[in-house]
Amino acid sequence: MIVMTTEVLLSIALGIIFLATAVPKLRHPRGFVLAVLEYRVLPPRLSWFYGRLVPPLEFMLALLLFTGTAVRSAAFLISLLLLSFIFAAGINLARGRDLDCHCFGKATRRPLGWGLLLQDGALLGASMTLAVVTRQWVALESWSVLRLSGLVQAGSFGPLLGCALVTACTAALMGRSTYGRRRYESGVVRK
Amino acid sequence: MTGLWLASYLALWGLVVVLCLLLIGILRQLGLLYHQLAARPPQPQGESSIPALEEDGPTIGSPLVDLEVSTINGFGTLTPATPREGGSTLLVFMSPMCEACQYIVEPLNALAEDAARPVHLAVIMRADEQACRAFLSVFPLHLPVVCDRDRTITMGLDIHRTPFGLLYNEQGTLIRKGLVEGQEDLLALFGDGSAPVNAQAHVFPRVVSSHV
Repeated sequence: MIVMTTEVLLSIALGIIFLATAVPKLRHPRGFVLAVLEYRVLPPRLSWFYGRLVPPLEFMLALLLFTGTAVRSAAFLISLLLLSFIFAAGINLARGRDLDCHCFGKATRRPLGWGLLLQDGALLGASMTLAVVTRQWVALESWSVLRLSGLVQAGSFGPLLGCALVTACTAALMGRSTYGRRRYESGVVRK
Repeated sequence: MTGLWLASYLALWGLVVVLCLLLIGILRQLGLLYHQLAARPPQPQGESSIPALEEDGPTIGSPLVDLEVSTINGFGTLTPATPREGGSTLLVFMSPMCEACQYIVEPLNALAEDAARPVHLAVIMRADEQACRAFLSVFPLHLPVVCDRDRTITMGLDIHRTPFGLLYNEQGTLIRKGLVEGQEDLLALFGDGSAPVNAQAHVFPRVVSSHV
């Protein structure tokens, strides 16, 4: 019972954090790509790939944690993501650069610092704990709301595909929201 | 307690956790706000490190900056002070990591491509070359971009805000300046009275509003 409670609480807590980090990045995807380029850790092409991949991945991982689907895989991927964040932030701290961490997109401003590394380290500990205590790499956990309500069978791939579909739709919808609204309407500006 | 009841029970506990975290987040923000306000010494009027909008940048009536710098996006050498016929000159000062600068890219590109409204446009970006090129790779600008690597141009003109626009008339005299965070601000900078009131507050001298 204690293990299951730990699983549920860690999943919800990590899910909330990753949802909160994903949404601002999804709303302004090119801004996040620029931030990754500004970290100057990866070559430009890889930075583009990483910058495009991370926001929808974070969103999907949050959905997986909320629904109790493939929690072990999600926790493992979150650990890898956090390791990459810690690595990038650590390198830039060592370089002495004054950068915004861009952890929550542009929603909040926070400079790189040791506090940030400690916070990411704590999150890494939580995600690794979750990866250890959970059992299902792909299927639903025993505490999954979808499974308990009887909506989905234990071994079904439906929730996994559903989360991927929701992520794709959300990323497509959010990506063209704010940026597109501020377009210049030709002929409006007068000399 | 099985099935649906257990699911709803767990979902409700999840909701309680979410609300608790939200409450903690809000209280933390309040605390931070209180802390920052308490830590900030009261600044007498006019002694702020960033001057008021009217004071930022060169004074109205100043001539075009006399410089000759190469652009980093294939537009050759920029010589703003050279007299040009048929159009005003707009210099926009940007920095790569300012979000508003990212939003002004599309309006500036559209303005540059608008043949009906000839404006000599140039962007001066306050950053090192790698940051300038990174910005242009993500937000391509189809107008001359100069990289102000050592901030000599920006600080020479005493500009503290970004994105900041300087509009010069055909004779090369500064006629209006201000923040250009979007299309409405561009309208206000060009002296369009139909620009929203909040956009008009971003430019100096103020535009005579057509709003009642």
